[in-house]
Amino acid sequence: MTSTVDRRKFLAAAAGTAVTAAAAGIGGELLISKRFRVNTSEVRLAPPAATPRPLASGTTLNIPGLSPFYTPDAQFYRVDTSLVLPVISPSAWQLRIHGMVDNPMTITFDELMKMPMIEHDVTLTCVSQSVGGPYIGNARWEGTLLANVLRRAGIQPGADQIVMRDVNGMTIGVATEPVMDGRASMLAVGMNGVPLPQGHGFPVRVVVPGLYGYVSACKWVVDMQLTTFGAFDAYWVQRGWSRQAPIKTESRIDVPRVGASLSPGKVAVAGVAWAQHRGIEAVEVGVDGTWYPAKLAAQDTIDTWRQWYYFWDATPGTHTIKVRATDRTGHTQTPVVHQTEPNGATGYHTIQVAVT
Amino acid sequence: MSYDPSYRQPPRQDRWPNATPQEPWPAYSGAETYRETAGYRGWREAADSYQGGGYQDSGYQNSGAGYWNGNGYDRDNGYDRSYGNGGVVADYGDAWDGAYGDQEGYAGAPGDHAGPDLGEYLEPAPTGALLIAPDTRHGLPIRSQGRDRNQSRGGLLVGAVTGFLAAAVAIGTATLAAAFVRPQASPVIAVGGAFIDRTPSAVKNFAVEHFGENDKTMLLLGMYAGIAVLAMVIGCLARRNAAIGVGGIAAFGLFGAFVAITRPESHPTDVVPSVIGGLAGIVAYAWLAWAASPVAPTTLAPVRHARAGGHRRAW
Repeated sequence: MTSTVDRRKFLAAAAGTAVTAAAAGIGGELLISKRFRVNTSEVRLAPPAATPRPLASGTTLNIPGLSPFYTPDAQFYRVDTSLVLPVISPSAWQLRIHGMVDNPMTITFDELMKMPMIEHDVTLTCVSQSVGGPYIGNARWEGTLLANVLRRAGIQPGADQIVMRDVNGMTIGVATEPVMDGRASMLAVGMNGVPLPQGHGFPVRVVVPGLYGYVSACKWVVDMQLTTFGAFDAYWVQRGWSRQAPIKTESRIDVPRVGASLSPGKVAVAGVAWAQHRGIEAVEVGVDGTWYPAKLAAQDTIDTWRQWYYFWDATPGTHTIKVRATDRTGHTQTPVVHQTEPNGATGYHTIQVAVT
Repeated sequence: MSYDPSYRQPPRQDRWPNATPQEPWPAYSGAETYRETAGYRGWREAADSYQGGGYQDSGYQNSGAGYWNGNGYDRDNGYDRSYGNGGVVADYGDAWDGAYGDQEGYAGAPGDHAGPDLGEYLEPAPTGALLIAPDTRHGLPIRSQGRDRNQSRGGLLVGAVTGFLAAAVAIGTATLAAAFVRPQASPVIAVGGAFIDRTPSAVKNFAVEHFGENDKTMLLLGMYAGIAVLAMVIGCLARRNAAIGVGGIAAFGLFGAFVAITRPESHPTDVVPSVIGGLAGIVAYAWLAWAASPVAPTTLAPVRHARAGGHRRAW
């Protein structure tokens, strides 16, 4: 007794189903990428009403390995929960403003583009940014002031939270006060001179200087509901993160790299420091426990990070290098090490280097 | 395991025209009356063709093996001895072996189960009952271990391949269907999104820290791997019962459909990819299970051998 399964018959069926599966799967993916592709060039960015301020000289340092002042779009961090990027045609986009407002309203993309546009440099930071982590990026955003739009809707007293929804139903709750206090909170349509990339919220996203992204930077935004913190917990708040989360004063060493082998002599220690909407006042570099003041690049806006550097006279041996920043309110970042939950990590970024 | 009498067939008239008993089906007990008659032998042969059904007792297999070995049918002694064994169910479920309601495959099933290792089999003493209906589960079959292992190894491979490919067809087709609905309606994307929403923050933080912005790719890879493993396990289980295969795929499809329409901002049409994928998976499964159904050497083998010019190998 030998045969239990006709091998040829089974192999034929296996090959047939495998080809079917591959054809359907690959064909489906190709079709999806063809049918559900945004054409960002549909959007023509208008020259902003407020003339773009040229970047002050000395704002960017030219040190190899240091994060560029403007993060290129392709390298700009992306942390969100969208497994597939939402596809929104600008002609179909609408923003509905409702809840505790006097005039519930809906804005189309054309109406939005006719509003006065501004350009503003803002450094965005993710709350998942661990000490020394990569989830921070700086860009020049173009858009219209969110406060002007909300004023047209007429915010009712007591509405201390704005719940923003993206096209997939993601909720981001931002406090009304920082949006309305005069800072450059905007409905952004452009990023570094081009329409928003699809992964960064095309066609419209929210940018609020000074707040971690999870409480402000709603991408693909289509809905804003004025409400209270008592009435609604947004997505991340339901998962244990804080209702309000201003970005903490922090700093990062970009060069030398962790574990780098250096030669004795002058070594550039450089990095970035940020305290959005407060501004960076000073940065100090600690080498083996002694703190030295770092040199700062010129400040662009208080909403952006600042590059810094320190020329260290390296001596042979293993050294520990730390960095700490002080913001313009006089607050120096805390050495207490804390995880990202619930409202941002703290601690000094520390690296070890060997000088031989 | 279910036992469906409708799969039992009356004795085959074509091969033993004169040996067919008058009744369409022999009684389980009181078989004594058949014993000395030609009808009895005819029934024996008929039962032989049901061996794949595990319908016969192990002792009977023994004599059946004698038959296959060409030793003739006149081993009445041996037959009697083994027959007295009490008629146990010899693994009825295996009879399916992916046959999936395929009567031809079923009828040809003896190849699957006839011919146990004679050397390893010890005849127990005769007991009172001559035949007991298989679904009484009276006693346990005595099986030859070596052959069983080979058998199950091949069965596992076929089952795993069947499950994997059926799931692949289901997901591929669902993806294609999602291209006509919206990408978020794809069951993998919908379930992945629901998974993200329910991920404990410790896991989420781990993913963000270790995979960075590849966390979504890692999630999808993990999901595909998980689905593949699950599908292979279901495929193996379905070798014993095709309903497990069909039910497994259907459950996948319904789960995907349920998740897709319960996502925030979902549309009713979001069920379409999951349903279409599930149906396509069931069709693929049926095809594979049919192709993996046992072959009847007596009827199909000569033809196949001639065409293939070679021999079939047991999996």
